[in-house]
Amino acid sequence: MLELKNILAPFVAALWQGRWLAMTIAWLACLVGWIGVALLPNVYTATARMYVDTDTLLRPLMKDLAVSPDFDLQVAIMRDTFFAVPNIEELMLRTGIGAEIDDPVEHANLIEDFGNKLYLDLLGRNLFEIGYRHHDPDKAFQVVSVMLDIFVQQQLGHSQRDVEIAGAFIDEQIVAYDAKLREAELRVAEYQKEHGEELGGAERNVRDLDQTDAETRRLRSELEAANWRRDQIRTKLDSVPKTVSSGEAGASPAQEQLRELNGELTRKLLLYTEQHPDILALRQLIAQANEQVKAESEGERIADFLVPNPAFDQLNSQLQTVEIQIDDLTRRLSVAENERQALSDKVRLAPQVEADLKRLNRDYDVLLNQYEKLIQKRESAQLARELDEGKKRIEFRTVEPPVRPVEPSGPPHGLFMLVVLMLGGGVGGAFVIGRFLLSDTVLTSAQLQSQFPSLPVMGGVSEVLPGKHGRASSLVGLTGSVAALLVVFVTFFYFYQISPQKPDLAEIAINLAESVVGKHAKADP
Amino acid sequence: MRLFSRSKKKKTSGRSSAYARPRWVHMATDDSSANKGGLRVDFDELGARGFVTRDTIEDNIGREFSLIKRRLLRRMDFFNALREGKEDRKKAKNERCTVILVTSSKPGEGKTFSSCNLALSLAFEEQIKVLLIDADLAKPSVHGVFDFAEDRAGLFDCLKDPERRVHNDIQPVQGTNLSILPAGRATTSPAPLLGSDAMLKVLDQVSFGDNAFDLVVMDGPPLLATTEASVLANYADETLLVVGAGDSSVPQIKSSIDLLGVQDKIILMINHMPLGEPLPTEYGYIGS
Repeated sequence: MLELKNILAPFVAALWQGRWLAMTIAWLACLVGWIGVALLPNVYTATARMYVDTDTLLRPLMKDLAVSPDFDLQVAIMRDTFFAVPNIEELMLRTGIGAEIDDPVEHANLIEDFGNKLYLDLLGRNLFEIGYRHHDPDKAFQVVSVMLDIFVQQQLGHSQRDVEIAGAFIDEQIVAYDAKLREAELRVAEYQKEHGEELGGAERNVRDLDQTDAETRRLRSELEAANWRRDQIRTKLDSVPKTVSSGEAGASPAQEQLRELNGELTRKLLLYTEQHPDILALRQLIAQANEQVKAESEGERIADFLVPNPAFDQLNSQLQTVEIQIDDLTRRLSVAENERQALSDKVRLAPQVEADLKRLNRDYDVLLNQYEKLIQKRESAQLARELDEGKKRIEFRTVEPPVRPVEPSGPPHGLFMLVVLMLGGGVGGAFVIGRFLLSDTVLTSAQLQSQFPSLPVMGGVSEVLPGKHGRASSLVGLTGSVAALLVVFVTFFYFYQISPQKPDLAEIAINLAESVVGKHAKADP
Repeated sequence: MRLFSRSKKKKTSGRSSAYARPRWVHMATDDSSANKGGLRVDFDELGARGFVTRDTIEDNIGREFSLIKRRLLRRMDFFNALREGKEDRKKAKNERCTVILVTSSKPGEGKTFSSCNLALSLAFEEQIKVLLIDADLAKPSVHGVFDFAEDRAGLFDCLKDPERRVHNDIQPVQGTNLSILPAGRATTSPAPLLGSDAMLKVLDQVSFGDNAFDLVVMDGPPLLATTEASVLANYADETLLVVGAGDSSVPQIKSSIDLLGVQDKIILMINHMPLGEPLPTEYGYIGS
C-alpha cells in the first residue's frame, strides 16, 4: 500500500503542481472542441420502407430449372443495382445534386460519397429500407423518394427481363428437343425397317430352320443313296458285254427295253407320284421304246448280226437315270443348305437387334419426356407471366413512403461534447504528467531519497501558496474552475442535445461580425 | 553562557507543541537583542509570506522546517556538543562555530526561503544564537525577506576591509536570537574574496569573543550559476542542497553534487513540494 502510494505520489504531485496548466489546457481544448462540435452540421435521415416480393415473382417460373436465382442473390443484385453508378448518376441528375461540378474526378468522388450516404437494409423477409443522410432535410427526402422511384422501376424492368430470358430459354430448349426427338424417331423407324424380318418372325424362322434342317438331312441321305446306286450300276455295267449275237436274242432289244421300262415304271409308281421327274422321264422313255418296237415290227426282221446287249443297255439307262437323279438331288441340297444358312443367321442375330431397338426406344422415350416437360413449363411460364401482369402492384409495394425528416438524426452533439470534455481533461492531465516525466525532476522527498540514496534527505517543504488559506483556497479555485467548465459544458449540452432548437454558432458569429462591421461602418462616415 | 541564563517564557508557549522540546532548551526571551536596537521586523507580515515566526511555528511550514532542523542538528550531534561543554573547548582550540551553507543548483529553488526559515526556526525554538549571512554577494535577497535596505554594509565590506569589525555590520533581529549579516555592496567579483583569508577572519570574528554565535547559516549563491558556492562549501560543516520540486532535474542535481565535492558534507532537502511532506508518523519519527 505504501509502495503504491510512493509510486503514485509523484504523479499526483505533478498533477497538483501543474493543475493550473492542466486546467488551462483543458479549458482551451474543451472550448475549441465544443465550438467545433457545435459547428458540425445537423444530419437528417430520410427513410422509406418497401415490400418487394422476390419470391412469387420468380419461384414458379424458375422452379426445377438450373438457372433459378436464389433469394440472397436476388437481394445482392438489388443492392448492386441500387448502388450502381448509373443509378446514382441518374439520381444526381434528377435531384440536381452535383450539377455544378464539372471536374470528372470530383464527380466520381461525389458519386462514391453518395454511395456511402445511401443505405439499403433488409429489415425482414422481403422488407427493405432505403435511406439517405443529408444536412438538408428536404434534400434527404427528395433523394429517397427519387431513389424509390428509380428502384421500383429498376426492379420492375429487372423481373420482366428475367421472365423474358427464362421464356426464351425454354423456347430454345423446346426447339432443340424437338429436333432431337425427330431424329430419334427417324432412327427407330429406319432400324425397324432394316431389321423387320429378324424382328417380325423370330419364331417362324426357328420353325423354318428346323424344317430346312430336316430336309437337308433327308436330301443328303438320298444323295448318298443315289451315289451308292450309281456306283453299283457302274460295277455291274463293267461286267456285262456291250453286244450279243442276234440269234441269241429272244426278243428284240426294243421290246426288251420296253418291258424293262414298264417294270421300272411300275416299281417307281409305288414310290413316287405321277408328277415326280423320274416317273415323267420313265414315261418319256417308254413312249420312245414303244415307237421303236412298232418300227421293228413293221420293218423286216433285222438280219442276224451282232446286236447290242439289251442287259447292257438296260443297265446303261439305269445309270443315266441315277445320274440325273444325283444331279437333281445335288441341286436341291445346295438350295436347301443356302436357305438353312440364311435362316440360321437370322435366328442368331435376332436378340441383338431386339436389344438395339429397345435402346433406341428408350432414348426416344427420354427425349420425349423432357420435351413434354418443357412444353408444360412453357405453359406454366406463360401462366406466370399472365399472373404477373395482374399482380404487379403487389410485387412492389411501398410500405412506408419517405417522410421529410423534422428531427435531425445526428451527429450526436451531446455525446461528442462529453467526449470532448473527457478528452480535454485527459489532455490537460496527460500534458502535465508528460511534462513531469520528460523533465526528470523530483516532486517528493521520498523520490529525492530514492534518486540519491547515498545522501541524507532532511525533509521537504511544501510550496507556499498565496492567500490566507493556501492550499484550501487553491483547491477552491480549482474546484470553481472545474465547476465553471462543467457549467459551460452543461450549457452546450443543453443547447445541442436537449433543446429542440439548436443554435447555429456560425449564424451567431456572422450576426456578431455583421453588427461589429455595421458599427464600424456607422462610425466611418 | 548567556544562552542558558535566559528563562523567560516565550509568547507563544501556550500553543500546544506537536513534539517534545529537548528538556535542556531554555525558553526564548523577547529582549535578547532589544537593548542593541537592531532590525525591527513585522513578524505578522513575515508569517503571511510563508516564513516561520512565533505565530506560524505550529503551522505546516513551521513543522516542516522543525523536522528538517531537528534532523540536521541530530546529524551534527550539535546538542551533545553544547551540553557536554564542548563549546568552551572548541573555542579554546580555536575551533569555529558550526557553519551551515544553504545552496541550490539553480536560482529560484528556495535557497533564501530555506536559509531564512531554518535560521528563524533555530532562533525561535532552539534558543541558540544564530547568525544568518547573506553570502550570495552577486544577487543578495535576504534583505528582501527582512525588509531592510539592500545597500547596507555587510559581508562584502568585511571581506574587502580585513580591519573592519564584523559585529558592527551584524543586524540583530529584534525580539529573537537571530542576527543577520547582510551581503553588503558588491563592487567587484566576489569569488576571489570568498576564497581568501578574509572570509576565515570574518568567521573567526563571529565564532569567538563575547558576541560569539553558536551557529552560522549562510545563504549561498546557486551552484550551477557561479563558482562561489563551491568555494563557500569549504567553510561549511554541512551543505544543505535545496532541490526545488519540479525545478532542477536529476542530472542537474548530480552535477551540483559533483561541484560540491566532498559527499559526506552534503545533505538534501526538497522545496516547493506540491503535496507537502507526509506526516512525521509515517516516518516513525515520533517513536524514535
